[in-house]
Amino acid sequence: MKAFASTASPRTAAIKIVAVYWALLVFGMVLYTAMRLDALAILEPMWAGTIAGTALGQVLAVRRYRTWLAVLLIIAVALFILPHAPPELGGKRLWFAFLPAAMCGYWSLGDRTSLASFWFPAVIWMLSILDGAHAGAMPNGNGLVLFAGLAVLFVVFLRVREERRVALWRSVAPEPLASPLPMLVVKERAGMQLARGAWGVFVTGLGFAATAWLAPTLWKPETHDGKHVAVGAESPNQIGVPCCPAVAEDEPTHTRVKEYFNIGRADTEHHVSEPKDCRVCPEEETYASNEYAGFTRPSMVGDVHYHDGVPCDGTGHYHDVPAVDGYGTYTPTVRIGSYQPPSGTGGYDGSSPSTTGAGTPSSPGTANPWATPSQWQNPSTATPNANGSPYPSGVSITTNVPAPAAPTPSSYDYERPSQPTPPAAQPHHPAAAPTPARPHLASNTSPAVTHNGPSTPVRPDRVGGFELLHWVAVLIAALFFVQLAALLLRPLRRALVLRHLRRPFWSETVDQRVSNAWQLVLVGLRDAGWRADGGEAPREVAKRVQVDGVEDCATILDRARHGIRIDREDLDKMVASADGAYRGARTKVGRFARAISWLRWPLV
Amino acid sequence: MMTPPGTWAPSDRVMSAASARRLRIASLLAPMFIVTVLVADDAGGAMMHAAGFALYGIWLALVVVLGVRFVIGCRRKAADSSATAPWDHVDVLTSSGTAMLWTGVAALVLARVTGWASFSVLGVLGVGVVLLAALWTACAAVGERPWRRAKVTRSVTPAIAVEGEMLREQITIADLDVPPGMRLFVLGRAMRHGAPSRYVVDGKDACGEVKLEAELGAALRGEHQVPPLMMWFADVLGLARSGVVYRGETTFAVKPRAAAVDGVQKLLGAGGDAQIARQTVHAPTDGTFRIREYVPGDDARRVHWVRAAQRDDLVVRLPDEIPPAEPSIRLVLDNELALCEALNCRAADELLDALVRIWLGIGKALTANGTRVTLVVAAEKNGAMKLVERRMDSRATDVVAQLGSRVAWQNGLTLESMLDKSAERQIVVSARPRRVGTEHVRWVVVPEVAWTSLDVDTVTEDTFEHPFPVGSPENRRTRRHRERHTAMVKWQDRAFFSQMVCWSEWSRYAGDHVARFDRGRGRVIVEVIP
Repeated sequence: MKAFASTASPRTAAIKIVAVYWALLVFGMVLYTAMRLDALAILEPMWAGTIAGTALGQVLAVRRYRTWLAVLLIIAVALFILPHAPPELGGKRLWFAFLPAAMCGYWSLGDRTSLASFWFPAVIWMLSILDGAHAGAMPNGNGLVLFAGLAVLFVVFLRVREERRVALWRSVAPEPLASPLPMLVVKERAGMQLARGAWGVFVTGLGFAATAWLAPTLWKPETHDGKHVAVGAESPNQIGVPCCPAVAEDEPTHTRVKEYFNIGRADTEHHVSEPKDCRVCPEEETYASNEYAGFTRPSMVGDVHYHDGVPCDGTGHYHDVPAVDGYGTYTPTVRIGSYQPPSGTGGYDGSSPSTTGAGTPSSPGTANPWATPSQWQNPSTATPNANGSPYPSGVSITTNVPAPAAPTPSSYDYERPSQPTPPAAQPHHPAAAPTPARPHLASNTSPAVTHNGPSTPVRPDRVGGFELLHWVAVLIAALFFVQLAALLLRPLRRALVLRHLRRPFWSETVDQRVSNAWQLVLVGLRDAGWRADGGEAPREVAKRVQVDGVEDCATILDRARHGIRIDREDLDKMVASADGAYRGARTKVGRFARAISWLRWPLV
Repeated sequence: MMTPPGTWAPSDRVMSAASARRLRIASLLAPMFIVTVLVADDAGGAMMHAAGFALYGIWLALVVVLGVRFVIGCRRKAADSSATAPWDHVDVLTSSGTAMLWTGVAALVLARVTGWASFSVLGVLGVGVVLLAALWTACAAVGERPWRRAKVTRSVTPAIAVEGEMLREQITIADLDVPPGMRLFVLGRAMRHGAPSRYVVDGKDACGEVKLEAELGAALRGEHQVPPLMMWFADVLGLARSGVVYRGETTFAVKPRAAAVDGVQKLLGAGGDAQIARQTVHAPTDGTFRIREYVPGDDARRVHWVRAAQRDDLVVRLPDEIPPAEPSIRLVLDNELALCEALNCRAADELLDALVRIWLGIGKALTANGTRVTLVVAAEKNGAMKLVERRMDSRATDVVAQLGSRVAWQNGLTLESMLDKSAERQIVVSARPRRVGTEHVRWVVVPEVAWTSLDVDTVTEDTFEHPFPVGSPENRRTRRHRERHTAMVKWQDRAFFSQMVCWSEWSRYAGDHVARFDRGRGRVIVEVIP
C-alpha cells in the first residue's frame, strides 16, 4: 500500500495558480519585448501597469476582499497613485494596462472566473501572435506555435484552478468537516497514466484546433492606407505625365488585427498598378543642379544583384527605403563591387550601367550619379553584414553619408509587377535625361502610415522578432529529447537492476541477497498493480496479494529480519521463490501492461 | 438511481435541484444559438464552414450523446421507478462549466463588438473546452458502465463504540472504471449531526483499489443507519460531471456513556433507601427512643434531664434513626415527544443524549448504593414501540448500554403507560415534568436550556471581506443565502423545540430534583428543587 495525500492544500494550490498566471504574463511580456525592442518606450508603462495591477489584484484576492471593495481599491490606486508614476512609466498606457491587469489578477483566484481572468494574459500573448500578421489570414508559423502554447497554458491554468477548488472543497465549509487521512492505494491499474496523458493531449489539441480554425474568422481587421508610391519614379513630385521610363504605382495598405492594446504592428499589402504613360524628359528637368533633390534611393538588403539595371536580391524582390531628408546636400559616392561602367574610364557615358562582371570603382569626383543612388542603402535600417557594416556585402561608402534622424521601417517585399521598360531610345537623344536602370521602387514616402490618429507601426518585412521564441523552442525541444532519452533508457536501467536483484554483479551478504529477492518480488507486484507500503509487514503483503511464492519469500525475509540464521538452501529457495513470484505476478496483467511496466520508474 | 430514503442531502447538493438544473441544461443549448449569430459573418458562409467544423461538430455530438442518454434514462425509469431520473443523465455541466460557457459567449459578443482578437480567442477556447469536457463526460462517465464492476465497502470503526469515542470511517473502492481525465468525488455523513466527510480520488488511483479514511470525531449516541455515500465523477478541469451514484451503506452503534452522578441519595427521600439506617439530624433536642450515658464532649442540650434525674447520672438522648426503606426503584426515562425527527436543530438529540446519560448515571449510582433499580423506557422493538424494562446490575451493564443506544424520541407510548401504579417508588427522568395519574413519582428534571447548545453556528458575515477564501464556492451569494436560510430554519426549530420542552412550574415540583452539570468536575449533580 502506498499512502499519500491526493490533493494539495488550498494554500499550495493557490501558489500554483499564482505561479502559472505570472508565468503566462512574464513569458508574454518578455517575448513581445524581444520582438519590439524598438518600442521600449511604449512597452515600459504597459509592463509596469501589468505587473503592478496583477500584484495588486492578487493581493486583494488573498486578503479575501469582496469584489466591490477590490474594484474600489483598484480605481483608487489608479486615480491617486498612478498619476505620481515617473514620466517614463506614466501615461495612458499605464492605465490601460493597470486596470484590466488588476481585475484579471483578482479574478485569477476567484470562483468561476477562470475565463475572465485569462483575458489579460491572452491580450499580452496576442500581441506576439498577431505581430505583423495579416488581418485576413491565420497567424504565421511562429504565431501558431505561440497559439498552441497559449491553448496548452489555458488548459494548465484551468487544471491548477480546479486543483485549488478541489482543495477548498475538501477543507472549507460552513460546518466542521471530517479530517481526512492519507489515502492508501492498495492496487492500481496499469497503463492509466498513459491514458490520462493521452486524454490531456487530446483535449488540448482539439481546443487548439477549434480555436485556431474559428477565432481568426472573428478577428476584425484594421486597414490603414499607405501613401501613394510611384514605383521606380525618379521624381515623383513632378506634375503631369511622369518622365520615362514608365513606372508602376504602388498604393500599399497596412492591415492588422484589432486588439485591446493599440500597439501591434501591421502587415503591408502592396497594390501595384500597371505602368502608365510617360514622356521623355531632359536630364536637367529631373536632376537640375542639385543632385538627388527629392529623390528616394532604393535600398538593398542582403546580397544585392542587378537585373536589367534594377537592384534586387535575386529573388524577384525589390527594395525600397524611405526618404531621408536633407538629400539636397548629399553627394553619395558608392563603390559597388558588382558594378562595371561600360567605358571603363570611371565615368559614365550615358548608357545603362552594366550589371555583369566586376565593376571598377568610380572615383568620387567622377561617379555617375545614376549609378550611385541605386546602390545606396540606408545605414540605419540595413542589416549588418559579417563585418559589422550596415551596408550590403560589397558596398562601401566613401563619403560621409548623413544618417536620418529617426529610423523608420525601410523595406518592402513584393513581387515584381512587370519588367521595367528599358530606356532604349534615350541613348540616341542627347538632350534627354540619361535613363540608367532605375530601381522600380523609388518611394519618397515613409512606410510608417498615419491613419486617423496616431501612427501605426508596421512590421518590417522578414523581421519576425521570434528569435527568443526560437530559443525557447530549442530549449523545450532539448528538454523533451532529454526526457525521451531518459524514457527510452528506462528498460535498460530496469534490466540492469533486475539482473542485479537476481544475480548480483558483485558479492553481497546473505541478508542483502534476501533483501534483493524481496525487492524483486515487490517489482513484480508493482507491475501487477499492487503497492506495498513500507509499514506493511511482508506476511500481510503476501496474504493480501495471494501470489504464489510471495508467502515463502515473506517467511524467509521475516527470519532474516529477526536474525535467524539463513542457510544456503533458504537463500536458494528465496531466490527461486522470488523469481517465481515476479513472473507469477506479471502473468496477472495483460501484455500491454507488462510492456508498459518496462518504462516505469521507480520500480517499486 | 433515486435517492434512497433517509439519504442525507448536503446543502451544496440541495441547491442543484430545479432551477439550477434547468439553467445548466439550458446552457448546453442556448449558448450555441448565440454563437451561431455571433460567428456568422455578413455573407453567412463562414459560419457554416469554420464554426460548423469546430464548435458545431463538438456540440452536435454532445447533443446526440445526451439525447441517447436521455432516451435510455427514460426507458430505465419506465422499467424501474427507483432508477435515476432521466434529467440526471443530461445534467453534465458543473456550475464552473456553466459559468465558463456563458463567459465564453460574452467574450464572443465582445469580440463581435470590439473586434479585439483576444476576446475571440478567449470565447472560442472557453466554449470549445467546455463542450469538449461535457462531451467526454457524457460519453464516458454518465451511466452505469463505470460502476458495473465497482465494489464500495464502507465501515465505521469501532462498529460498537461508546459515546464520545473517536470514530474513523474507512471506505474501500475497488474496480471502478474511472474514465481518463476524471476524478472521483465522494461525499457522506455518517451521523446525523456529525461532520461530513469529503474525499477526492484521482482517476488512476480509483481504478485499482483504494482505501479512504477520515476521522469523524466524537461518536454520538444511537444506532446509526449510515446513508450511502454520494459519489460522482468530474473532469480534472472542473467543467463537467456525471450524475450522483449512491453506494456504501453501513451501520454502527454508539452506546451511551453513563454520567457520574452525585447526590442520588436525595432521590431516596429521607430514608435514603440504604442498607444502613440513618439518624435524623434535625435538632440537638430531638431523639426519644435511644439514650446512653453522658460522655464528655456531648452536647449539653442532648442531656435527658428526666432520665438523668432518675438515674442520678447524666444521660443523653441519641438522634432517632430512620430505618431502611424500600429497596426497589423503577427508574423511568421520559422520551415521549412528538415531531422531533423532523426538527433540523441539534438540541433535540442533545437533550435526549443528556437524558439517557443521566438516566443511566442515576441508575448506576443507585445500584452502587444497594438499591434495586429497574430501568424503564419506551424503545422500538421489531418495528413497534414497546415498553422495555431492564434490571440494572453490574452484570447487565452491556445490555443496558445497548438499550440506551436504542432510545429515541417517540410518541407511541405515553409516560402514564410507562408508569406502574402498583409500585411504591418511581423516579422519572424527564425534561418536562407534568401531571401523571400516579402518586409516588419523583422527578429528576433535566432542563433543556442547561443541557443543549446553540447550534446556529453561522459564519460571521463581514461587509468588506468574504467569509471564506476567495475562490471558495461557499462565498457565492446563493450559498450564503442558503446558509442563512438554513440557520434560520434551525433557529425556528430550536425555538419550537424549546417551546415543546419548556417547563417553568418550578414551585409545583418543589421537593423534586433537578440535574445540573458541574463543568468543573465533569459530573452531574442532583439537587433538590427548593
